[in-house]
Amino acid sequence: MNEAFIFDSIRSPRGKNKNGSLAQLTPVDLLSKLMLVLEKKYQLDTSLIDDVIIGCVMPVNDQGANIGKIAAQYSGWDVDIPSMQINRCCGSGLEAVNLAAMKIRSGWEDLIVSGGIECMSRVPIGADGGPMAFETKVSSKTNYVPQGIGADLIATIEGFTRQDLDEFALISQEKAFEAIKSKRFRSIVPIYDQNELLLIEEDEHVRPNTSLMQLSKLKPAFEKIGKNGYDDIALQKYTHIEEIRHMHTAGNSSGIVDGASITLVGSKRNATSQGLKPRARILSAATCSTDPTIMLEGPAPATKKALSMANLTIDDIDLIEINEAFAVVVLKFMKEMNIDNFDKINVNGGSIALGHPLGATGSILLGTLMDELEERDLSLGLVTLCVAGGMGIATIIERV
Amino acid sequence: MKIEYLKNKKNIIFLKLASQVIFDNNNDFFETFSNSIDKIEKEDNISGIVLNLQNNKSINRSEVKKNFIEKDPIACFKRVESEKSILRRFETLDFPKVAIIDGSLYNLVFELALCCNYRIALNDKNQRFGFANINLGLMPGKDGVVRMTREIGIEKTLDFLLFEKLLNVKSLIEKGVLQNSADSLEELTSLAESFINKNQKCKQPWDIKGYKIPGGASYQNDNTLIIADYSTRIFKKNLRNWPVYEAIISTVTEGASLSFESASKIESRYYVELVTGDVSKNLISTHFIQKSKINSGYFRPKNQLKKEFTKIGVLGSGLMGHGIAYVTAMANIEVVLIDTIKDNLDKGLKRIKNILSFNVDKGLIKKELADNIISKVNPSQDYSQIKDCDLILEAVFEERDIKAKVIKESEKYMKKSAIFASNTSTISINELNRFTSSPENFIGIHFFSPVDKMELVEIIKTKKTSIETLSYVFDFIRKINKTPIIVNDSPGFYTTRVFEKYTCEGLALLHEGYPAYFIESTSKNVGFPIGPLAVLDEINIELALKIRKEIGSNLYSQKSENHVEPWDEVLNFMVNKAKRGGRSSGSGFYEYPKSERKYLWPDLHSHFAIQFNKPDQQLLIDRLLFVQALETVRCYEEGVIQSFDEANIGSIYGWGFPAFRGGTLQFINDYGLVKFKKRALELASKYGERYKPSKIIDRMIESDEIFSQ
Repeated sequence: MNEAFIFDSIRSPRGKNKNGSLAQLTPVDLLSKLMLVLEKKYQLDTSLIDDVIIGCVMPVNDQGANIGKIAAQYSGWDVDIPSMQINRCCGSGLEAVNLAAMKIRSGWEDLIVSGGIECMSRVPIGADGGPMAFETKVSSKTNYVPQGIGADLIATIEGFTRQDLDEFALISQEKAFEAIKSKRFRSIVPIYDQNELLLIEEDEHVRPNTSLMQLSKLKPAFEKIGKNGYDDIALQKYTHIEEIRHMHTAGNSSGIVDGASITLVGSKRNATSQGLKPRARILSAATCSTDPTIMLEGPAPATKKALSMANLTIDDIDLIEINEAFAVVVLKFMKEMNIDNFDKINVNGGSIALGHPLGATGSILLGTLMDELEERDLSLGLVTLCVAGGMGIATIIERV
Repeated sequence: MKIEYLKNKKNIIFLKLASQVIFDNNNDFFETFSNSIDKIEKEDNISGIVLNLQNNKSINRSEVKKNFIEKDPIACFKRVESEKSILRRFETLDFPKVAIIDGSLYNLVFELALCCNYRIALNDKNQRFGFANINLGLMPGKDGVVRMTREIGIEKTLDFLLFEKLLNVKSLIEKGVLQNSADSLEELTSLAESFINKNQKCKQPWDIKGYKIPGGASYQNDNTLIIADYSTRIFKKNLRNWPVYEAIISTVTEGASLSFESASKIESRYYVELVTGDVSKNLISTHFIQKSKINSGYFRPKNQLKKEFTKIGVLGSGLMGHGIAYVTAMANIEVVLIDTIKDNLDKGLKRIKNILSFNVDKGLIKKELADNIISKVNPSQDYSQIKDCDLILEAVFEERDIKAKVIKESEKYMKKSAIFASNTSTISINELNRFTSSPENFIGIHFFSPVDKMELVEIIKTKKTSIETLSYVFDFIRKINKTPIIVNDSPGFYTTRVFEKYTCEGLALLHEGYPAYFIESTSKNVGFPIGPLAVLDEINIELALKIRKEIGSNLYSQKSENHVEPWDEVLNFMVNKAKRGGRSSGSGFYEYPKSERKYLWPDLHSHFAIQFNKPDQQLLIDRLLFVQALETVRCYEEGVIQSFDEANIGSIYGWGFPAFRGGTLQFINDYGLVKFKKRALELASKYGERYKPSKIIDRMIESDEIFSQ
């Protein structure tokens, strides 16, 4: 059996929405800059790259028409490199890595650039339209509700309080700020403009002086649209709930940001010929789907699937990166996996503090995890995300 | 630098920027403007601000020159951001701000107007407003793009910036950039006051919460299609070589869906890229630095008295003669237009009248002026009429014997002190001056067709031409508002000789088996206005063959007699075998159907078979550019052309070498001399001696010089 190794994972800092430093850059520029950094770092002979797989959730307009392919061409990479853009919604960045691992393990390919991008300032959520949310007959038949409604629904069902959610958000902020201060995000590369002027070198969404008091004052973000009808649609399915309590706010939900990440995956064969050093191997990768209305319960089943493939239990895992799409996603995951403390979970904060550039996050979390396993000299790590449509995704890696 | 500051009884502050102020001494404009804002902020009880902007039509020379030398993107970015912040400070002052516009406004001053909440202008159909700097490869860089996009939407902004560039009051009101107009300053002032009275607090629409760009952001409505359409039009107009157009589209479309601040930064970044890039520097250098240097008389013989011309004789009333007579009369000089054939004389006069009435219709000149100009042209069939002329310019048929006859005939009637100039593009002046008894008063002048439009004039001197004659003719060319370059007599002079390399290279490529359409389209991609085959059709292939004989027999006389150059073979074939002499003969490399567009002669490749089905475009681009650059260097080395400035300007204004490349010598600078030499040697080894770089390039590489003075 061929093994799939991760040689490196780099990412841009996450830039704030609309007014952030990355808003001034086109997505293809951003992705291309990462590609060029990777190429330069390893003096990569790009003609040896078998595929470029880029996750992108709003693959339209600025990010449309297979952005990975054009970014590779725009970077001056060998024209022989094929590429595809994939969309497994919020799991796209990780799915790109998993898919690369599968290709490597099949023995058919040897070196793959995987990753993801989402410039949400330029291509906002909803830019790709789609029947799920925008075609009345479809959304009504499938009981579609926006994710925030689903998050509030989970919190209501599971009995989490507003304070539970805000406390978790505060932890995310504190850990993230500490991680930035102590330069834990080694996968970050600074991004420059076309004149080589520095645009951004650190994640900029984090709010260092957040207090529980401040968080508690924020207005529920999804109450209004819920009351306008989405609550009723959800409750048509969740008949045992009387009313959805709206508790998610801008403060305990993931931030809207711009960002990109790429992860270089390959076989051992290439490692030696290209002078690349494997940092981790991919042990297992899994996806699943759960109820699409509530939408955010995928991480636990996906993790269980991945653990079973790798013959591991959750206790074997040293560190976990779970995407903080909403505070409740993490809390629900912990509950389901019987994890009762935060020691292993998102030790450097998460998307609530740092932001969630949809298609890029999976690859970003993988890089963060790998950096931290090395930092702490630990071995096994898990990345998992909830995915729109009720899906989940998980990947288990082992340091080498 | 002063901004007039006045507070009236109604508590309105009037800031007056008088005409020319910004341009003559622009460096401290922002500081002064900032001081005015400080002063405003300290005032009590202000009801509003009126920014009175007077005529600032002339292109901002100091700004342009500053851009020309600006090379450091970091410093440039800082400058732009700090200048922008001053305008933004003004724009976000809480009071209503009105721009009263009294005269044409270009560039920066127009951007100033856009910072106001209400923009009104004096009714005058001759006033123009907008961004002339776009023609220098620069885009508005003081949030002009950002504000305009927010004011009138993506589509109208792109229309204005990409194509219209300058518009009059009426069009700008229709567009929504200006809000009102009036016939007098008093009326404008009262409009301003009433606006101020009605609007005690005033924010720009884009600074009000919930603001949406008219017509939507880039990906709303049909905007993606609209933007794609503009990109295609840029492509079709062959403007891709000008980064400014792409930068404008990017700034408009990217900024439209973002905050003012982000859009502004995006504008700055593209602006910095344009300012510090080669293309704008080349365009500024061409249109300002080098051209001004030439026009200011830098290359005119020093310490020579300026001569005023009162009467000029023009011999021959054909294509060139009537044009020369026209431009001379336009400069308020009496012209005697002589042609021995009555019919020619009438035709020439008619053509002059046509140009004049065209310009009157267009509103460019007044009817009275046109009548005055035509009255200055005195047609005659009688050579004796030239007796009191200071300068006689012959523009008779391009044939040595005919010219010789005219020269001798004129000598009978000319004043002893008069200067005689032959207008020719190829015939050696040293041969023509043998027919005169005073060669010191004899000189060559090479006008380009159409004379009324083409700015360049090549002055050809011989060793016998006196300094007085040269400087007088230089003064005359300046008087008729043309740009003179001075060259030494040599076959083809400078412009014909190098331009011919372009057409010959096109023919060589055809001969080697490149598809004709590919040669033509590549030339246009390089930036030439017209492909080599099409231009040969326009010149007339027979004439081209004649020019070849004229220049070729002298220049390459060392070649063995049996050797036939590929371009000569093609020209000979077209004229003698195919009997296709060019457009004027009805057919050439192209077919000219009466009511349809021309198309390439379908049989061309049955005579010159296609050998390259997948041709390498970069190779063709290099060959077409290198062959001209190398010949220019040879001209310089031989002393035919005497300065880099004249060489560059001659190439751009003479035969349409792409201005964004800065001229035939600047092209080498941008390419890099070492790289240029290496590539030239490569081409020479494959395609012949004409690519062999001159020794002067070696010398310049050694001493680390470039083609720049």
